Amino acid sequence: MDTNNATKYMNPYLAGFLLGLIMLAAYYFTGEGLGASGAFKRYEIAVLEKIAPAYVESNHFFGAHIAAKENILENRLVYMVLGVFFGGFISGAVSGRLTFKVEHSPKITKKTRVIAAIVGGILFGYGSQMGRGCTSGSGLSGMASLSLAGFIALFAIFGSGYLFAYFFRKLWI
Amino acid sequence: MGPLTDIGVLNSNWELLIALVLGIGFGYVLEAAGFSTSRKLAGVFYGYDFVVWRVFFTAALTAMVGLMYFSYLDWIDLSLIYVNKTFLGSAIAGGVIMGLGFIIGGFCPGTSVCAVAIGKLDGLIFLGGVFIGIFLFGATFPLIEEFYTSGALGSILVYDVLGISAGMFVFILILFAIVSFYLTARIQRKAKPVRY
Amino acid sequence: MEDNKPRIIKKRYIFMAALMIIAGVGLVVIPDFDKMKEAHAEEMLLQIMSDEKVFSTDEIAEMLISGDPLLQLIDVRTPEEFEKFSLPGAINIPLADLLTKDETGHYKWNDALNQDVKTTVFYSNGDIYASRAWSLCTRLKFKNVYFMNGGLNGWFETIIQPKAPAVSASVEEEKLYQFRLGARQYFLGGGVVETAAATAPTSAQPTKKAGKKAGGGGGC
Repeated sequence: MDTNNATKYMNPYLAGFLLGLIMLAAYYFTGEGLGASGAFKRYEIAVLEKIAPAYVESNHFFGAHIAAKENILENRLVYMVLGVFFGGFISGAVSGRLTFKVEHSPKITKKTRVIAAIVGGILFGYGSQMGRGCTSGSGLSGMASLSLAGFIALFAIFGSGYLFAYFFRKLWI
Repeated sequence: MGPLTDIGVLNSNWELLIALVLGIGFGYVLEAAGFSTSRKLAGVFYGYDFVVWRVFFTAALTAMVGLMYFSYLDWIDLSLIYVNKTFLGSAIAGGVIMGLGFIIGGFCPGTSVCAVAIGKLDGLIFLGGVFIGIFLFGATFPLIEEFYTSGALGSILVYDVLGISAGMFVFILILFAIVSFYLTARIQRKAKPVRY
Repeated sequence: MEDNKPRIIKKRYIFMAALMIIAGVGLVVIPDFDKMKEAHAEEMLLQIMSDEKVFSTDEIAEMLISGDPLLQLIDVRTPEEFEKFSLPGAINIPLADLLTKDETGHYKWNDALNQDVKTTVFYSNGDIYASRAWSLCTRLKFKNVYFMNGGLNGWFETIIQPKAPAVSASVEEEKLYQFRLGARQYFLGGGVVETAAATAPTSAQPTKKAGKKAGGGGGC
């Protein structure tokens, strides 16, 4: 519970309600919900295009955007994730949570946490592309628009999380 | 009537600015709710903190109820909003991989950005991993291209699949959410508290 | 001991839950609004019209091959993009320029767009900009305006790199594929293709597993 912890967080239901309103606004203004991983793909293509343009064009997955001759960074998700960064920073600054640290359970070392973080990141990055979106884009926005894909994503992500939770409990509790 | 950009009220430059502003709100709420700490996020899988579930479900319900009333009031044309396309195979496989990544890494892409914003180095490392993962996906894409597009069902809606009305579906979901909020709160009470 | 722990059921949570349930009940009992709308004649007309606002890439290809004189393709992308690639015979009117007025205060492109002889079809990379051009023109009550469904992305996916149908595909699908192969040869070769190519199988072998566009992949 929040009361056990040093930092006070917003009431989760209030946060959820506000997030829902933001998502509603997103649909009202742009016709699409929230998202994150699509932006990472675009950042990545933008960088790859600078360092290895030939590779990007030959790659079916990355090259599709290039072939379509679109400006890879002129996309709402790209700006949205930029906003997420600023928003997170503002909230952290307001509640005095700005510190450089590697956060980990006291039962594991910093090194273990770092390895777990990078492995988890790789898996999430891979999965988000295969599943056409991450927790926010595929799961959250998918649910809000009542698409079947959103509910499948929700069940698959949380289901697999619970399924594997036992094996990685040492990392967290 | 919305969505404003789709019907030409706003041009695409506005769209980017709006996305930025919405993103700031999104990031603010995520961070304020505690999504910038992996140990709080992972709590949902061990029963010591269900904040993820609460925020996630409340947000989805608020948005879907809002959308339906907006539609009823003719404020938004639901046929114009983006509905994620369903590809059965890749959606399930991708979700399972993401779940595994979640339990190991402790973040998802959006929340890791929040974590980085407040200086969490593990978030930064996770984010680095995400970029590697996306690159690996691109590199292995030719091998799984077939699978990636398998089970294509198009933009289908969950209540159509279940054969009930949208309103009834949302109503059932609301009841389910309230029961789940109550039960998870009970579980959380019993669980050993974790400080972070 | 128990007192230290916060209570699960607080008054405000009961209140919130009640609100949500009322909202949900509202959705169920406020008469099935989608059905009500369907009965509404005006809405129905809109519905019908919206189905007819698009041309598929196949239809456009067919019109181009047969040299339909009434087809007026409008590329709403930027001049730079237009320079690099455009469909045969297309005119470039960037979306930003669409409603530009000349000195006399008339729309610059009025003559091309506001007429009822030619069939105006907008296209862009995807659907978004073309559909915006379409909706702007519709609002101005211009007639015969459409947009190409799927845009140039769809064009590449269907005409330039058509996907071979599955073994179990129906005859129609096979025919469509053969048409696309013919169209592909027409547009890539730039040469004259006898009209038979549009329906008969051609010598062009399908490039093995043509690259599909990733679409909105990871559109999260």
